[in-house]
This record gives sequence, C-alpha cells and structure tokens, in this order.
Amino acid sequence: MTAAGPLIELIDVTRHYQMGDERIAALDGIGFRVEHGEMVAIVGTSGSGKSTLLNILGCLDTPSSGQYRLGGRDVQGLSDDDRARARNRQIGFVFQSFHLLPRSTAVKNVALPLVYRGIPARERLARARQSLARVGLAERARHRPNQMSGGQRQRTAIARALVTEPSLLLCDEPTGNLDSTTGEEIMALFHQLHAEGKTILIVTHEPAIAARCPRAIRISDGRIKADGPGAEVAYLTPPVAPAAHP
Amino acid sequence: MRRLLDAFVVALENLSDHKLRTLLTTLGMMFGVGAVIAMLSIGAGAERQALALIERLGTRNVVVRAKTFKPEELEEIRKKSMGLSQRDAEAIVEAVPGVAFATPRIEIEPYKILAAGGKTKSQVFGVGHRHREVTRFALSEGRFFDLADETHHAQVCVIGAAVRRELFGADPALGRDVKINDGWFEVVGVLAPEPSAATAVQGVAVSSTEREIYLPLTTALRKLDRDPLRSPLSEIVIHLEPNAPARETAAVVGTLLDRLHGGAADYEIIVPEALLQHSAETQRLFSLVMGLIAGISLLVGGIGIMNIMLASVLEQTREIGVRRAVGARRADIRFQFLVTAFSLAMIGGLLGVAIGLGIARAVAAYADWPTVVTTWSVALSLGVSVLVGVGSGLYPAVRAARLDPIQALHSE
Repeated sequence: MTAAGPLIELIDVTRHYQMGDERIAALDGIGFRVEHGEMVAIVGTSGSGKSTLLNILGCLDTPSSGQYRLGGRDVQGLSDDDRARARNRQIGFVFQSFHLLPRSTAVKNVALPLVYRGIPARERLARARQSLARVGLAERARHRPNQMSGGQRQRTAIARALVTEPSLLLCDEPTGNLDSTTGEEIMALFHQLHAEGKTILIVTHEPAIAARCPRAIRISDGRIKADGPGAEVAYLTPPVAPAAHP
Repeated sequence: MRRLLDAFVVALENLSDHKLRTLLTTLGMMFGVGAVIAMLSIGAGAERQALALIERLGTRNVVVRAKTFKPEELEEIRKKSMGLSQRDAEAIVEAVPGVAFATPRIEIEPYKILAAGGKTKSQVFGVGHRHREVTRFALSEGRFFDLADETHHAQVCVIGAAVRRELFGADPALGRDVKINDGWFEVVGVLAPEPSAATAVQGVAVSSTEREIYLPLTTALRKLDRDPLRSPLSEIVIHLEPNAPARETAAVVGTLLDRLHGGAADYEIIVPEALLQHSAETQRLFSLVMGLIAGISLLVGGIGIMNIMLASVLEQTREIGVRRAVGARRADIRFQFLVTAFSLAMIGGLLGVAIGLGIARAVAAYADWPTVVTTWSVALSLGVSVLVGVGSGLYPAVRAARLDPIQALHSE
C-alpha cells in the first residue's frame, strides 16, 4: 500500500507438507523482493514449488517459516479473516482456468470482489462495467462465461482482478488455457497494465512468457535458481525439455 | 443489512437455477407445514364450536335431562319412577345448596306446524319464563314470554330464525299466528339467527335454536298432547348461584334425584363446566399429537434440506474457492449457505401455509367442518420450519466455510 519500501518482501520462506511420515519441502528458503510497478515472472516446471509460492504470495497459504511482507505488513501472523481481507484489497487473482462463476454474467463476475467489501450493488456494477471497459469488454457485460471465447473469459477474469484496484496482480498460468494468438493478446494487456503502473506477478512454466517479462525468477526444487531480466533467466538450465526458442 | 440482501439474492439465484430440485427439497417442509396448519385449523374449529355449544348450555348451569328409552324398557322404568317432574325441580331448589333457581322444559313432537305463509318442521318446547335467564337467547324481534303469559296460559310463542324464514319469509312475523298441531299461537318474539349448525359436543346433544319454537310451559302442557309414558319434563335447567361449585352441586343433585326416582337412572346430569374442561383437555391432547406429527414431518423436511445443502457444497466447491480467493471470509461463506437453507425452508414454509389454508378451506367447504386458521398456528409452523431449515443448513454451511480455498479452487 505504502509507496515506500518494496511491495513484496520474502525472507527465507519455507513451506513443508507432511506426507505420512515424510516431510516434503515445497519451498526451501525463498527470498526476494518485488518493488511497486514491477512485472515479474516466476518460472519453473511443475513440482518446482511455484504453485506453493503463488499460494503464499496470494495469502491463500502461510509459510512454515520465514517472513512474507506484503505492502510492508507481515502476512504470516494474520488471521484467516485478515488474509481474506488482504486478498480482497491488495491482490487480484488471474487463474489459468479463469475461475468465473458459470451462471453469472461478466459484469456480475467482475463485481464479485466488491460484494465482500460491502459496496452497494449499484456502485458494484458501475465499477465492474468500468473495469470491463478497461480490458476492452464493455459490450460483453451481459454475457455469461459460456457465451464468451477463452480470451474474453480471461479478460473478464482480469477485469475482476482489477476491479478492487489491488496493489498486486497475481497471475497463475494466465495463458495456459489459451491459443497462442489469444495468449499474446493477454500478455499485451498485461504489458499495458504494467505500463499503467500495475505490479504484476505471473507464475508460469512457459519460458516464452517469462522471457517477455522485464524480470523473471526461476524456481526449481523449492529454491531460487536465477533472478534477473526475463529474457536471460527464462531459458536458463531448462530442467525438462531442451530449450525451445521462441 | 446489505450483506443479508446480497446473500438472499445469491441464494434465490442459486435456488432458481435448480427449480425442480428446490421444489422437491421443499416438498417435505411444504407438506409438514400444510398438514400442521390444516390440522390445527380443524382442531381450533372444533374447539370453537365446542365452546360455543357449551356456552349455549351455560357454564353456570347444571342440566338434568330425561333419557329416552325403547317402549319395552320404558314400561319397566316407569314402574319405579315417573320421570323428571316439576316436583324434582322444586325439590332441587329447596334442598340443594347453591341453586339459584331451576327452570323446566318439555319437548313436544309436533305433527303439523303452519302459518298463513307456509309450513315447516321444527322442534317445539314448552319452557318456564325464566328459561331466558339460563340460556343466551338473543331475540332479533319482539320479546320473550313472561310470568304473566305463563300464569294465564297465553297462547304465544317465540320462534327460531329458520322457522320465521320458512313461515313468513320477508313479511313481518310479530303478531301473526302459527298453528302447532291443533292450537294457534301468536308470535311475540323471534330468535336471532345462529351461525353454527352442529348439534353435539362430547356426545351431548345441544340444539341450535334456528329450528325451534318456544311456548310457555303451562300453555304447552294444556294445549298440546304428549305421550303419557314420557317423562313429564324433558329437562330441568338448574341455574347456580354465583359462587356455587358446578360439579359438587351436580353431585348433590344426583344424590337427591336418585332417591326421588327410586334408583331408576332415567335421567342424566350434564355439567357444562366439566364439559368445558374436558374439551380443553381433548384439545390439548390433540395439539400434542399434532405437534408430534408436525415435528416429525418438519424433521424429515429438515433432513431433505441438509441433504441438498451438502450436495450443493460439493457442487459449488470451486465457486467457494473463487469467492474465498477474491476476499470472502469463512463467515461470508457460512452465512451464504445458511441464508440459502433459510430461503429453502421459507419457500417450503410459505407454500405449506398456502396448502394449509387451502386444505382448511376445502375441509370447511366440502366436509362441512368448521375450520379456524389461527395466526399463531401459521406463525408457529413457519417459525419451526425456518428454525429446522437453518438448523439443518448449519452443518453444510460450516463444512463449506471450512473448505481450504486452495483445494477448493483446484477441485473439479
């Protein structure tokens, strides 16, 4: 929230899961900062721990140890309700499979976060329409998700993430369910929002996406392997397939 | 307030997305509430009628009524006892403490009743002039006969509303003559119409005055023939003094009459006050049984709601995850499910009220039983159904709220 200091600060964050007798470390001492207005990709293969990191960054999960500060505030000490509030006010989620409410219209979907802020219905819908206009879907407000294309659905989801004016846009494989053209459009939208000053964090396994971000953090086995300009980090030591060039 | 409104909007949207399911789920509630309201309305109607009938007997009265027998039995009885007589009435007033006065009544079987305007069938009674004091006679026209009429054997009568209608129609009745058997009687009064047509409470016959004609007792005895074997009086209505206990006084009357009638049980003693208590007990028992049945059906309705709510928690897991991700607290999710359960119960309850009112009206129309839908029976059954609904929504709501948002988001 405050302009001073980084928006995100992780210090030696670990996250363990208990699987029977075995203790699995999904995150094993992660530490990095993200400043206001940055656009960062977190890239890694499945099982690298990037989803766990996303959950922690999104205040859906808490670290087993270490510190996570969001907007200068410690998250790990927050109650469940306070984390819900933090998600509502500071974070906008964009998911791979959009996660729109199937029976609600676009404008109602976009207005959903405002419901949990106690904003009157009329104002909710007005703000939701503005948000839809921002992602270029003003004329689709009354459509239901199943009446929209994948790209339109993702735009709706982005409008939903933006409607609360969050300090952080947290995107989980945002182009994963889209064809490459549409994916490009969505990435262009992110770049536009970044240019407008939004802080955007994109979790992805696609180096091509990471390469298009000014900064990328590569995660493997729960640790940070590289952190730097997207184009450089994206194709470093690809753990599965040989590096595919864009 | 806004939160509640929003929750209701979401709940109703959810429910209207599954109209058939909603209807089926609320069916249990619906019939439960409908049955309770209908049954209670029948009970309340019966009770109100009973009260009205008892009221007519007079709670400050004790009634001694001659029993009717088959001819062969009657002869046996008459060897011991002459039946109820004026002598009994006098003895009761004299010997029983707490008795203010007693007024006799005889019943006459008329074979012919006619007037200038037409003819009718009716019961004819000869009563003492004080009869008016022991029953709640309301006269719509004219007067009741008095002591003077009685002592002079005046040929006057007071007729019931139905009798008046059939004999005179819309024409004036006062001053006109009615022929009963072979005697002519001048109409001096008309009784007010009565709504209820029922004639018995707790197995005791209580007549409606609609089809009755009253004559002075003395006139009736002189002018109209009766079967000599019959009890001289059909009934003695004993009016109690203000503080006299009804049952105890009735018991004393019973002892006295037993002696006077040589042990022949040719009469029965009716204590309206006791009937009143009896009726209240019956009503209480009825209410208890109804409450139990209602409770069971509402419980079944509640289980139905819980079942469907649990199913919808599973169904909406992803949606719950999304809502949690965008900032819904556990309490918001819980609240949403509770409001949905409440809405289900309320829909069921309201439809049930409609059904209940329908049944009550149908019963009144087709079975000719009086039904009274009381506000409290509606409030009670609705209240209980909503309580059961919210109660059975509680567990699903808590389960929904407990879902881990991460797992919920990734569920299929």
